[in-house]
Amino acid sequence: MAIQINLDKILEERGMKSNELADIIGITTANLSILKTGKAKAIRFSTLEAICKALDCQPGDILSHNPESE
Amino acid sequence: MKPHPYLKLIISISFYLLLLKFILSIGLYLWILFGGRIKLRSINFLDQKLVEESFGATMIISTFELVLTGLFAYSLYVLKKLVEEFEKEKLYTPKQIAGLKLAGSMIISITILEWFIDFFTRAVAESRLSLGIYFDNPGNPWLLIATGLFFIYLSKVFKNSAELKRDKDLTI
Repeated sequence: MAIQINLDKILEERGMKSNELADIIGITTANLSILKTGKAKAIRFSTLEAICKALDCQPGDILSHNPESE
Repeated sequence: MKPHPYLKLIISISFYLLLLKFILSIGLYLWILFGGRIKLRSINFLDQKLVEESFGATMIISTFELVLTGLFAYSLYVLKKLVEEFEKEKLYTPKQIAGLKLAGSMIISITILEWFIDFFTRAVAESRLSLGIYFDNPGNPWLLIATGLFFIYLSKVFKNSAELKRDKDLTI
């Protein structure tokens, strides 16, 4: 998929672990892993909003478009 | 969502009765094959009588009967397995999709084969080709074919639903 998730990078920058983020935004670590590995088909606005709030970032910091990986 | 309890019961009863008929048909078939003679009921409805057909005709009719009973039993087995799959309360599984498609195809195949056998039996037994295809109830075979097509359509609906469910499960 051309849409890439840069959650790992942001998490590293913020010094936060995946399970901590999962706890804060209220999703399972399994679902967060699906999101991080790019296996997710869609992301809810509410989830995106919670991630942005928890990581103090913009949606564009998490999602990027890379046409070459299509 | 569990299926109606009578559904599995009725399908199971029909399946085991057909299985019994199939086993008896095999026995009868072997008996005829090794020289046994049987009298078949005349298809002349105005003058119902038992007539003794030639060995060849009896064999052909018995083979048709055996094949048809076997296919009926198998299609009921498929339906039985399908209902058992629904009982697991997990919908849109690949087994259900394949089962619905197979059940539909079997219903259509059996109905068409039954047409052919009915026509051929008449031709073999009493050389009445001019009678053509006869149905006890003219609407019945079409209803069965429609049911078969409906099962195939349902299989496609399930396949589409499975994709939607997968998308929903992968929405975070």
